[in-house]
Amino acid sequence: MTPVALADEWAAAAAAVTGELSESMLGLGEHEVLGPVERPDRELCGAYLPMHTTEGALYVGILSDTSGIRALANALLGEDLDAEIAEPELIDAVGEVANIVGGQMKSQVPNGGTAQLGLPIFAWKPVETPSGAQQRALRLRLGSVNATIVVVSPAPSTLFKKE
Amino acid sequence: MRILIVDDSKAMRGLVRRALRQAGFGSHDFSEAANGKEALDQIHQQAPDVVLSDWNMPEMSGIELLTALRGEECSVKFGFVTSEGTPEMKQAAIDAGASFFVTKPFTPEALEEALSGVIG
Repeated sequence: MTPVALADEWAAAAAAVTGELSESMLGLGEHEVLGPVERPDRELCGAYLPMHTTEGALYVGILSDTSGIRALANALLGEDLDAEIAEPELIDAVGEVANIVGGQMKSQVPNGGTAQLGLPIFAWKPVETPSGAQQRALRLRLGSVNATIVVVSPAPSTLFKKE
Repeated sequence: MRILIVDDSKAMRGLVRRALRQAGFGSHDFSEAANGKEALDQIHQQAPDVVLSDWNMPEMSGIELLTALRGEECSVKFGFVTSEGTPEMKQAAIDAGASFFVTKPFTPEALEEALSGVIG
């Protein structure tokens, strides 16, 4: 599979899983896929999850603005969406959301079951897409939270560094 | 009964602990570890009755932890609470000696059902 097809396939799966998760575990309400964007806004932050698939390496990012990311973290923790949250807890919670999305994605994609997940990485700005890599970005509305899903294939090897 | 929760996410350890309380296991003693290596040390020192472990963690993964435990003939009851629920991973967990496998996102009822089989 080409990096283009791989990114398309996993981006669609990521958007579907994130939407389902926002309605179930996160309790954010109905979701909507608003459509593709060329690249995520520079102001967005979020968690990236590296994945090794049989078709190649990629990473999936769940991004939002700072208030949206805080809302996602608080939703996981069962707190008010705009509650104050310390940075380490925010990073940990959003990373766990990315981890759950990654795990669920594996069952949405043909041959996804053999994919291996890396550890989530938080970034305060969107990670630069490496030269030659394919990026797909989809904007979502998760209840009242706007988010962007990013899939980049192939992923830079530095994202797979064992912590 | 002592229950050890192993997950590299503090948030998830808290969610598991809360779900266990909601599932009726609140009277048990809980302890936590952030990876398999920490868990192995705690198991040696505190001998918990049940271990609920994530799969994908730094330092030592959940399956590496379980393999290490069974390798030293430790028969502590062990189950996975993980975001990855593929048939291949479930089979690997069972083959390694796991008693149950719960996939995130989970409900208190799912944890109750899983644990009721191992807690008498």
